[in-house]
Amino acid sequence: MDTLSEAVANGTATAATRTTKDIVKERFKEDETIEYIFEAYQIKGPEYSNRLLALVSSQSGGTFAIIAFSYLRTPLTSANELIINKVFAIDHNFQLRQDSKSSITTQQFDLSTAEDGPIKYYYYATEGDHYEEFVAKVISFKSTMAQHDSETVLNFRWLNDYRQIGEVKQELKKRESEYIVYKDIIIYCATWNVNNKTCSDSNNPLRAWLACSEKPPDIYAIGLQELDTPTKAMLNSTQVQALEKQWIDNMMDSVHPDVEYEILMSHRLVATMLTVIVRKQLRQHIIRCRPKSVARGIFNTLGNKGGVAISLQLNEGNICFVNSHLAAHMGNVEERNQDYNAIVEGIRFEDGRTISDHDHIFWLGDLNYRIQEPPGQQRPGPLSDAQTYELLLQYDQLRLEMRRGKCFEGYTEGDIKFRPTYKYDPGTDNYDSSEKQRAPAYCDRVLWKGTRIEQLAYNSIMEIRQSDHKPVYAVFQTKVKTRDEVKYKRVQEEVLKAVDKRENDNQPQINVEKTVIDFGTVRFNEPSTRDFNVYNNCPLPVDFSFKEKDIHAICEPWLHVDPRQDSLLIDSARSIRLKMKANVRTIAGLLRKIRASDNFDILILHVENGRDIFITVTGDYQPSCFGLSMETMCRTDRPLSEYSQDQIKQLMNDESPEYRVTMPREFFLLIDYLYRQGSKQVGAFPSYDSRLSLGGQFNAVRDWLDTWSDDPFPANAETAAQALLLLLDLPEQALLEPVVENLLECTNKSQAMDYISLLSPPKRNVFMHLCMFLRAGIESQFYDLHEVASTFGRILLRSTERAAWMNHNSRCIQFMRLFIDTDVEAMGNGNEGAGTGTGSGSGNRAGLQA
Amino acid sequence: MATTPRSGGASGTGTAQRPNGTSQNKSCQFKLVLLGESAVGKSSLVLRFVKGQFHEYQESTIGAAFLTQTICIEDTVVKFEIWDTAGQERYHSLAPMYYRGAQAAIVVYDIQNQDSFQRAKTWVKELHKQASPNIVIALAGNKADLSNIRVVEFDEAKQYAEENGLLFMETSAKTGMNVNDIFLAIAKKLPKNDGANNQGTSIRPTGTETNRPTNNCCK
Repeated sequence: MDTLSEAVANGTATAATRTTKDIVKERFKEDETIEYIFEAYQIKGPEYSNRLLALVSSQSGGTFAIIAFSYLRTPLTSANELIINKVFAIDHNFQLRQDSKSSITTQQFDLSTAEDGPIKYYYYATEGDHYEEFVAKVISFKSTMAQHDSETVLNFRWLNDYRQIGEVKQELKKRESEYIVYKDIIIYCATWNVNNKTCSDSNNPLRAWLACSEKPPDIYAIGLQELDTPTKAMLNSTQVQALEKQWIDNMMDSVHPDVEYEILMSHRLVATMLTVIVRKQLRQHIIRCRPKSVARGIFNTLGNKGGVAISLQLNEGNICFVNSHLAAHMGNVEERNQDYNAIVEGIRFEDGRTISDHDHIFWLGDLNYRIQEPPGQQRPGPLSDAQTYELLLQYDQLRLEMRRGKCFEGYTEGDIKFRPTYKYDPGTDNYDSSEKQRAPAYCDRVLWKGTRIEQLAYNSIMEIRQSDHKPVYAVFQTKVKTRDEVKYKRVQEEVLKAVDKRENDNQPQINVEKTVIDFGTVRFNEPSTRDFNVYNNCPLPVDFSFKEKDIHAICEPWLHVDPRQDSLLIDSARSIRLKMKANVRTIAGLLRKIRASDNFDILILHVENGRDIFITVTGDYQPSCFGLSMETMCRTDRPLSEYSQDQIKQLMNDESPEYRVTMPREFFLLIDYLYRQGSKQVGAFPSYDSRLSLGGQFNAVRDWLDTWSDDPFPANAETAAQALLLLLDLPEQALLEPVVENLLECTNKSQAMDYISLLSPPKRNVFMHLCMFLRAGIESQFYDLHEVASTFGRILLRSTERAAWMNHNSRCIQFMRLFIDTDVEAMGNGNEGAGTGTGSGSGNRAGLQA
Repeated sequence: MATTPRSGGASGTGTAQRPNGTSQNKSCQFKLVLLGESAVGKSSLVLRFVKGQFHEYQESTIGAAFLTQTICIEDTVVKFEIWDTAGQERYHSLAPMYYRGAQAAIVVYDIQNQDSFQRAKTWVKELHKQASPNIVIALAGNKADLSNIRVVEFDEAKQYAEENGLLFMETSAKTGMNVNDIFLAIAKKLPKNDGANNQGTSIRPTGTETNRPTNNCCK
């Protein structure tokens, strides 16, 4: 790990000129800003892999994201070495979690989004400060996003370029040679410093300049400098537009007459304008076209000097044209170089491309480089032959500076076989005769950079005389990359297939020991566990987790899964423990599940980036009276211990009005036992809240009830009372449903009896029998009327809707008192409409037969 | 250093590209789910489509398998994220987790098995009720190589499909008949416009699905 952290440290140290951030920035578009870069790593099997986490903001999307890169080499030397590993959109679902297992040597955290479960990263202890900074920024950006309400759709479209679609593009780029052919394109570059002259007069004045090529050009790039833009005109945009239009119309009139042209784009910076005109037929093959300018001149900002560039993609070839007007005057060589460099640095098209990111670059303009005369040398005077040009060019500042590597590095210029283009007396072919007597110079030039470019012509036009500069043109034949559509389609399909195949074949997989986990016999109030193994036998480390289901949990409440998620290294296994708990809290749900399905639950084991495995949890629930409805119990004809899960399922689903007994034997037995305890019952009924904590004797009582045991009751009155309460409370439906709502409204007993009579016979009988028993106990002063009314009222009148009502409890008590308060009964409200027919406290089981 | 980007703003002038990006093709990504009774050949259809293979004794799917396959139609690259679900009835309650958020579904039945056709109709009903309202549903009468012992008539299924706005084909994972075609027909029917719903999604299988639109078009 030491070497790794050194490597990372070196990565930052050696990139003194270009920082890691500069290099990473190249992978992003212009309106995307690298807010922070954090160096982390991942552990995959025995391997440590470096990751660069770039926290990026997008101007156009208005959103933030973290892009994780892997890189094979440190120090990083170019953006090509960065491979996108993962993309995290910082949206409402995004989370950065610090791992609680952190130790001094393995600082770790994980990132997750709605699409990607937590992905673990580690960082070096030495990076602690950077980590803090990184986290602070992430949190602040996330909170910026959180200000939008969750309904707002955040714009993450910009991220698509960094997702997997990008991988296909990269692959296609790599195999370019298989489908690329080269197409000859004639490019006509023209530049003219018009010296603030308008272009109003004469017919086709520019044709001499723009239609010099034999073959009609495919693309024109025409640069003008010193357009007539006085200060007044600068303020009046319609005036400027009219002027621009006049020039462009004039150009369109003057281009090669043999084919039809259209204006692709014209872009102006103050007085410097670049116009690209293309053949009509070619237009549809131009996929992208973007302008950009850099202002120089006064204060380096006013734009009286500077550069205008247009970037375009023709088929698969990227072409850039630059028109620049650099600093003037003989002595300002350094300023010209600076202007050039500022343009190179400053031009960044909307897609992030710089000038050098093009296959073919044409740079034209009034570059203003002069002829540096050796001291004492005479002015050359009107010269005309090649030898003289050669002599002059020896002192050409541009060529000297290029040789010194000060400007136009990598650019080529064709041979100059024309007279210096500057400075003439307007209207003549005579060099400056004014007092200043400026030396003639090759101010106006065309250079190129890139592959497969051949210059066909390079000349100036003497007979255009209105400016103090002569216009210049250059014609090029360029082989532009073009797709062979048939071959491209084939390669694309292969690439897509390969990417799909890689994705499908490299899918992480785990094996599960079994997909059915059988708990065997499951009994009420007896938890049990089952373990099973998952193995990773694929060549990758695998993360797995149990997926949350529509119930908003990974499993039903009677199950517990541990662990819920984990990672498996290659060839490793993990034991998963399932706990099954059929207890007072879960039994109603479990019985509902048993009624409707053949299993206890189905777990979804999700393999990160792979398939889901369904694990069915089954077992045989040993029926017990607890949780069963009174109706179901009244359908039994033998002890519950003799029923199987399927048999009880049938009884639970039986909806016929036929019952074998008037009330459940189990209930009757408990009441009978309690009644016979006499004064031992005092204090037996627990308060409402303690009814759920079961004592050690409880399971013995359960078995005694479920087997109809003839043995003496195996516990005390307290346990019996608790069992009685649970028998009434655990079924899914309250005993007095479906008339609970009505009963709570009743004010007298006869009214209540009308509703009680609507209950199913088992419920009605249980209720009446219970009331008689309680009344007797209250009369004998074994229990407190108020306490008992409260405890039983809340159970029998359990209602989810009403439970939250302020006076629910007192309403319940009031209702219970109608039936168990002897005073109320004495007031003459009693009218037992539905008698149970059995004497209270009689131990006679035969009396129960329906 | 930290700039605060505008929120929700649309990007400037259209087709921004990465440096050196070449393709101007549109790319779309769709989630597709296969539903249908056990043993009608859902996994076999996927296997034929994705890998061009067929196994006479394809193991029963216990869970949901995930595969991706990309096809080109005209100048659009359509990537399918395919969830092949278990057909056994006991897993029925889990199906919504897989068809929710899906843009397309293939409901499969076996032309030799009338029950499986009835079950397919139930699936279609459930999808119409509970899946995304724009879901493109295709009905596939599989095992068409055994058409001499068919019990579900072609015309009957075709009429049902027409009445319910479904794409319909009889397919054979064994011979490959109509397998690519049915996926292609779905791809053609799916909306591939750039504007509608293009929230970024991962290509890989995700955790719990939400109702978020996952149709993802990008340039």
